[in-house]
Amino acid sequence: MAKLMPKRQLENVGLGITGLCVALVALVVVTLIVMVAQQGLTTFFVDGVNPVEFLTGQNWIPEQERYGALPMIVGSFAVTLLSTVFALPVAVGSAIFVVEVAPGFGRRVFQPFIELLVGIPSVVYGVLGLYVINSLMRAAFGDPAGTGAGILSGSIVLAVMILPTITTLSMDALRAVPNQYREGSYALGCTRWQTVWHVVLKSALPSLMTAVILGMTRAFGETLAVQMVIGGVERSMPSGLLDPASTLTAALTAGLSNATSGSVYYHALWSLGLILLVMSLVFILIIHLIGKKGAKANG
Amino acid sequence: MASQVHSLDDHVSRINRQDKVATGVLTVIVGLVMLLVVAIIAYILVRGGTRALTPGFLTNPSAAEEAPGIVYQLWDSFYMLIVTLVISVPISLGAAIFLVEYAPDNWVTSAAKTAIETLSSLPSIVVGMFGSLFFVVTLGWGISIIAGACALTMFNIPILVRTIQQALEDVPRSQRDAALAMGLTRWETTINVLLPAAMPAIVTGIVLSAGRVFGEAAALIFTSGSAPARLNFANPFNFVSPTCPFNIFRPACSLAVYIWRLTSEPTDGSVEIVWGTATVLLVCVLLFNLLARLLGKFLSRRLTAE
Amino acid sequence: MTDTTPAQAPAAADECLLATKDVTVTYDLTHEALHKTSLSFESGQVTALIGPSGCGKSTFLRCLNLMNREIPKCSVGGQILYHGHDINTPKENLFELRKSIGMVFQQPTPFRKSIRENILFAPKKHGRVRSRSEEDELVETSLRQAALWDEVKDKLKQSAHALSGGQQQRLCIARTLAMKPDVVLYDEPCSALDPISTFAIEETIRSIAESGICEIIVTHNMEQATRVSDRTAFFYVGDMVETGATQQIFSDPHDQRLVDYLTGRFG
Repeated sequence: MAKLMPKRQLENVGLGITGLCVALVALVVVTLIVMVAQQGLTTFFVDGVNPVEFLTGQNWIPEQERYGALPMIVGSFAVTLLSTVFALPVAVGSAIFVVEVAPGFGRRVFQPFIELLVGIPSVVYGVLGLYVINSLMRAAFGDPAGTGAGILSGSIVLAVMILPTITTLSMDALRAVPNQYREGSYALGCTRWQTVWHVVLKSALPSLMTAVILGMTRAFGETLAVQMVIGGVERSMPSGLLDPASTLTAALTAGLSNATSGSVYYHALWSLGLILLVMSLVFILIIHLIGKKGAKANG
Repeated sequence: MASQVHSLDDHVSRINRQDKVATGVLTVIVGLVMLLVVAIIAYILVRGGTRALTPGFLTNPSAAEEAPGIVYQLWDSFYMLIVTLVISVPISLGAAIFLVEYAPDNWVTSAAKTAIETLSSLPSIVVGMFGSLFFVVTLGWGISIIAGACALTMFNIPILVRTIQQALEDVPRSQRDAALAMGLTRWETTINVLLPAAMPAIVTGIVLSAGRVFGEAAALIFTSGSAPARLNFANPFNFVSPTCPFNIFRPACSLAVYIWRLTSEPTDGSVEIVWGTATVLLVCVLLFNLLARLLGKFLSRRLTAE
Repeated sequence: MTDTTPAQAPAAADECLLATKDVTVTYDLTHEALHKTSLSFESGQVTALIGPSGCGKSTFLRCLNLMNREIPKCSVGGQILYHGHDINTPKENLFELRKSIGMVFQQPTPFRKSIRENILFAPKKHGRVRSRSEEDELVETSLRQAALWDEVKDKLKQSAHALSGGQQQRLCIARTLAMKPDVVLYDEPCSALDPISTFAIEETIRSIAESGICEIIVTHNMEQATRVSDRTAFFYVGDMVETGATQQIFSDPHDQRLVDYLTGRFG
């Protein structure tokens, strides 16, 4: 029989191996942040693009060396907010139904169903958007819709994509509300709807907000589905919901293959990436703040 | 007095009506959501089904003159998935074990947790962008399967770490305490007691994550490329050849990337190929979902029956 | 070394097998769960720790094999003397120590392995068994000591989870005994079991004590304490209030809190 390693040593080996894995992940993340920041800031510090003009400029025309990211920033926020507005009532509504009204049905039927939506790849959503939603837009709005590509169709596709995220997280949030709260409310003679509205939703509010923010994070970072549907116009500001537009992610996808590395255009694209990175850090921060506040409110 | 009673009655019937209306509205919403899911899946399957089942579609290369197919993309998707899992599963296991078992309660741990959380919320295009510079240029791997697999790994790790962590934490504490109380190390406890007990959940998590990796494209466009590969299956062991299917340093085009490429550069008849490919992709992902559920059930039944 | 021979010989008069001096346990830096507790335990004796829930008896028990180290933000002060040597130091080798101070928990905790593998798991990991015949012998003696051999000898290869709750708990005792400890700690071992299984476990505990092993049992069941223990210690809100021979504690308690507890005023 092989001699066994002394236990303390074995414990240190375990600690070492697993610690190494974590360190590797952390290192990659740090490298990513440093690299994106370095490349993205080159635009401003080396290529001499004014950062204020970059963020507020309304035209993105690389051939003319005009780098105004506002159209994409507006596009990203517009699709994110719109899709959240579309998805939120449906998501929270279905979460309430499957947790408060029909829990058995929720677990056995609804949850697997909604998880199917998570599984559908984003290019497939893109294909649906490109060939189906855009034609519907044309059919609904006629000429003003142009090809059908635009912020509205992008938002609709995104709404479907973030629906499962918000729904499942809302379901978890509602399930986490202690049953005593409900029983207390029913004991006072409240109806189910009153209980849900005044008691359950109120105490689940921080978690519901986290669910929404996570949904928005997904919408903001979603790439191909939006890029295929939104029309890809970065040159100028969109003037309406039916106008073709672009988002940060879409502009990156479309631009990166054409840009020669080291050029101003290339660096400007990395600056867009930097904005995306900063935004996802902001989203994380918001989630943490909500969590802290919720913890404080619940003692 | 009488009017008070009357208004109370009014109130009761009003809140009861409110309750009924609310329940009705919620039922309709849930019904619509389920209808939407069915409609989406059914539409794709019907729209692309005929193409997907056309003879040759699954077995011909996309450059074929007659009946172009997607066999290389299928191969590349699965091969890249396997390479990704080979890299990401051990790292995620290690990281999850560290976080559950060893993590000291200090800033190092919270920094590591924040790093993983950051990774999970990063847009996949940013990961792809980073990969196109770091894996492709800095590490000198070029546009390749390994660069793509590393980008996918970054995308996959946060998901896997979270599911494995959850699975380990769901093993009753008493199991862990019992092993530690016999003078065993956390390492032995984890490997011999916790992991076997958590295995069904871990396997389910891995297969589910595989489904997501399989459909991911944005992280791949600039790391493993979007040009359809030309493979030579007749000579599979010449590992340096760009046509060798197993060569991890050759460019590759997955199903998802292929769809994206065809929609951004449409050619004659590409719409039909797009729908066919989307159907194949969707079916694969649904199969992964199904497999995850079945495997999870099978493993946990075997565990409890033993 | 202690890991090869159980201390079968009675402890020397001036030196107990296991003793605590002013042990204090603090959770989260501020919450004191146990205050300056001093007790001593000898080979071949069963000591019961009783008291209302939250009194610190389980906390105290977990100190004895340093299981408190597994709880974050838990600090233990004072001395814990094992064979006259203080084990409450950062340098103490937990793994060596826990080989000779075993522990049985409230819920039966068989691993997802066969009965045989449950017994052999720890000895194998500690390099104690070298051959198939040694393994067989260890399995048989441990199971016999825990009075389980006759019930399971034909199904050693089956999953331990197929056993009844009481059998599982006796398997856990057998598994602990397979490490040849000289102290066994029980944390309410019968609270999840039915009366018949409880009786079997109590019998087992008595017979193990007769083989010279020191046993310490936490229980909330006073009848159980009178049935199995030689000595009893009463804990109340983080203090060890009174200790003595079990007979004396139950028939002639001195402290008013103990009197109240025994007469059912609280707890």
